[in-house]
Amino acid sequence: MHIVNRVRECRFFADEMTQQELATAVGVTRQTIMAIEKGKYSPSLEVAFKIALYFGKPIQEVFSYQDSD
Amino acid sequence: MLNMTIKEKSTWLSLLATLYIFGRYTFEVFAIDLAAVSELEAIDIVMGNLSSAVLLIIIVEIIFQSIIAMAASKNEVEGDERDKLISLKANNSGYWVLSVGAFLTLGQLLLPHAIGMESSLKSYYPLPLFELHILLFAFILSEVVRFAHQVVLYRKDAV
Repeated sequence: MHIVNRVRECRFFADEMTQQELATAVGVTRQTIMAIEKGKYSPSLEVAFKIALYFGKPIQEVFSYQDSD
Repeated sequence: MLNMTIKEKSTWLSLLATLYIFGRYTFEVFAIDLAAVSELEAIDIVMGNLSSAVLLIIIVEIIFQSIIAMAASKNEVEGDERDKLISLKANNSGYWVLSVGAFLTLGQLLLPHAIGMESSLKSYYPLPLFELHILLFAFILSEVVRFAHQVVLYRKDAV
């Protein structure tokens, strides 16, 4: 099981906003945004919703579940 | 350094301070020549060294953690959900080490009464206040394991 995300892409289309700007907006550290983008850390539902809401997208457009099989 | 969160910097500081200060204390305790001093003198030396080590770690932590915190915002100092998860995982590792140390200490205290024999560990390492030192070293080791595990998790971006 693996959760994939399009946070990097969303940042790009939001005028190439920085990781720090997104981190401040959703209340986490820049390193956490970096770990999320690399797929090393799956955020809590709360942070995932905050990120999706920040970009004005439904959560399933930003985060999706991928079966490893 | 630039890529570290405030929590990671703070963990590095605690790890290095613990290793240096209590590493030095451990060296000093093992260097006491029990043949040259009486048991009471040895206990006096140990208590003096231990008091200095505890005082030093408190001072170092207060000064340097304050310096690190001054350069950060309130949110960064509190840490986010990833910091908390890393901390929980590392606490678990430290807990196991401390548990082993607590059981060793209990064994040292109970076995001589239960089976009427002197503990073998004590004959190999005749430290002053032996049982106190097993527990103290277990505590120091558990702290080192806890900080080191935190650092590893931060460096690996593991959670």
